[in-house]
Amino acid sequence: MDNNYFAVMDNLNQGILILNANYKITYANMMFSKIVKTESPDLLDRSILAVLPGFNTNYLRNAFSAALHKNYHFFFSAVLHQEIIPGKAKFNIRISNLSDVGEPYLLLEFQDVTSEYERIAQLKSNIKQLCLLNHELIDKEKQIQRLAYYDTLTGIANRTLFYELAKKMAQTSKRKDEMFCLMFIDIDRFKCINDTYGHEVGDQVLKCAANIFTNSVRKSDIVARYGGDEFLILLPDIKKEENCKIVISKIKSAKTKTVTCHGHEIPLSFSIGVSFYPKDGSNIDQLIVTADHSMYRVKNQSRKNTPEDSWPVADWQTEKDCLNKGPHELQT
Amino acid sequence: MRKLKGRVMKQQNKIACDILNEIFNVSIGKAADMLSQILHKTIRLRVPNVILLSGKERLSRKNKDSSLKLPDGTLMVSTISFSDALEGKANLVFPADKMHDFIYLCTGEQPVSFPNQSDFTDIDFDIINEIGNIVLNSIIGEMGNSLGITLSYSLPEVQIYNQSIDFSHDIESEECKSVLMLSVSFTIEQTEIKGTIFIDLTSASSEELFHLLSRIEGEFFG
Amino acid sequence: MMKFLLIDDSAFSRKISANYIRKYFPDASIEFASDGEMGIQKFDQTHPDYVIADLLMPKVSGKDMISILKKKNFHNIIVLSADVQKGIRQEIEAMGITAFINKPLSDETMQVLYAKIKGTRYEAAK
Repeated sequence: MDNNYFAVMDNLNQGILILNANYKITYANMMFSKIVKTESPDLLDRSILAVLPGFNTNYLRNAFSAALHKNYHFFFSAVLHQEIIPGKAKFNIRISNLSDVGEPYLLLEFQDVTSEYERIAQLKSNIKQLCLLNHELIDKEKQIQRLAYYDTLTGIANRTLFYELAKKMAQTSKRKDEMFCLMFIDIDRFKCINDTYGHEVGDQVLKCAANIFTNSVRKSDIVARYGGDEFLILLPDIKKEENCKIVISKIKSAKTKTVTCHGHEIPLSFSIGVSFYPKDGSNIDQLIVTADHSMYRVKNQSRKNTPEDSWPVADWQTEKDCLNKGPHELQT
Repeated sequence: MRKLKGRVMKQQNKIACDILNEIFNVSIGKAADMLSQILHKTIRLRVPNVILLSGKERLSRKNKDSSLKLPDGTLMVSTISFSDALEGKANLVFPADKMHDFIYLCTGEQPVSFPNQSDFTDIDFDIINEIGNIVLNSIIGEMGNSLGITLSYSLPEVQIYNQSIDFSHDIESEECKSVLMLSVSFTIEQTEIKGTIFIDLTSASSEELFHLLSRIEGEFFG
Repeated sequence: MMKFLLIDDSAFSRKISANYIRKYFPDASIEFASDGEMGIQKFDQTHPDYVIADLLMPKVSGKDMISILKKKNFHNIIVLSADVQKGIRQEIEAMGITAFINKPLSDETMQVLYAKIKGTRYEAAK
């Protein structure tokens, strides 16, 4: 080779190595001697397997042989073959055949990709941070959504979310020709509890009530706080009107139906009114009005039947009466 | 193309495809051996099956025939060109989303979830490049070996295709060119990666290939 | 007379293998099957001395077929595989077979096989 070519080779930013058919080094450029930290003359005539023992694996020896005899080109990435070149620097390696020269020679190119690897590591760590930040933002957004859609005290759906879900449910039920049930519930004598024991206890009562309702329904049912001590429950896709009895009896038989305050156990009871789509109304507001009326009738009836000083308890019998009466009234 | 009547042509192709299948079986086996040595993992293989597409049969996402349909989503394509006794291009096509799993298997490094599934780093490209090189080397090399011909070929290039891809524009002479298509499936530690290899041949080369195959056929089935 | 059963889904590969078997065992008879399922059927019908089977096959895979043959207390199994990975080879060899041979068959591998079967070295020109 002409001296000019050698000068060019030495100026390349890429390690160049030429091996003969016995894998002995016949040429190494400046960059390659830098990579292996050995002067070029000391490399000549040495086996590549001695200079870089990392090449001494079954598949790399096979690759040499295939490149030499079958003209294969090989590309070995730094990431999968870090063991070939010791040290922190990373190199992609290409192996090809220089058969044009007459006798077969192997050309090995070592491309320094250390800075790319560092850049990518940096990029990955940036992305990771962005991901974390993104997760935080998503969490915040969820929190904001909660604030807008959920009752802060009890954690259940608020009136806004109730209307959104109820509207969708009405649409679905209409399309699928299904029935759903709406319950209107209030806590008996809530005002009295609030006045007697204070607002903190009143809050505890509301939380306890929300818990009882949530635990008494299916996962697909919706429990919402309508305002004050009024709650709404939506039971989608019920087959028979009687099916809502199950929920009512669950609420009635809830185990933790008391709130404790300074050693006093305050028992809770609820008045429940129900209405059904489509029988009692074609839209949510109509259904709420029907259920509300039905609830008040339960309350009045149970007040009549209960002495003034004991807590009124809504029971299924009274509700069933109202259930049967309510719709009639609405239909007229 | 040789002027053979449809049925004879089909019969001829059946034996030719069988020979090609066997060649590709051996080459995929060899490629998997090398990959398993590099990754220190055993790779499960599935039988590749060659389909020969010629003339107007086109490969695209829109194709109604499911065997000729390319997978949805972004595709990663490694390509090697070969010349001498046969002239054409060999493409290894993988769905890009699977490649993130594959790269993770190769490096053991937890993947960073890029906002876009079709985003890859240079390191990822290097890995795909190497895998593509091993598989396509093996395919083309074994073909040359079995057919007793010399082929010279390039290092692979890797490209990402987001939308349309039409291999029939690969080679200049569009008429009567044919495509060999074979599906490959590698399973590494429960992750199955299904890819497809397309070997495009110029019309002259495809004729030559069938000439070579029929010679082998003659030797064995005579 | 020695009886071989050759199971391979490729007609071409069956042909190559059969040619080699005839070359080294001129008196042998050879039965063929093109997948694992058919292989088992032919095995039951013909009771061969040796089964030569591919690994990558449709229906019943080579590996499954070997375990079926092992259950029938048959051990003279020669695996002829394009899958040459060490891990696969070890897995199959652990099942207890006569030999694991890389595809395609060649004179070199055939001589090894001959030695295994006959217990002597093959001498070409007799």
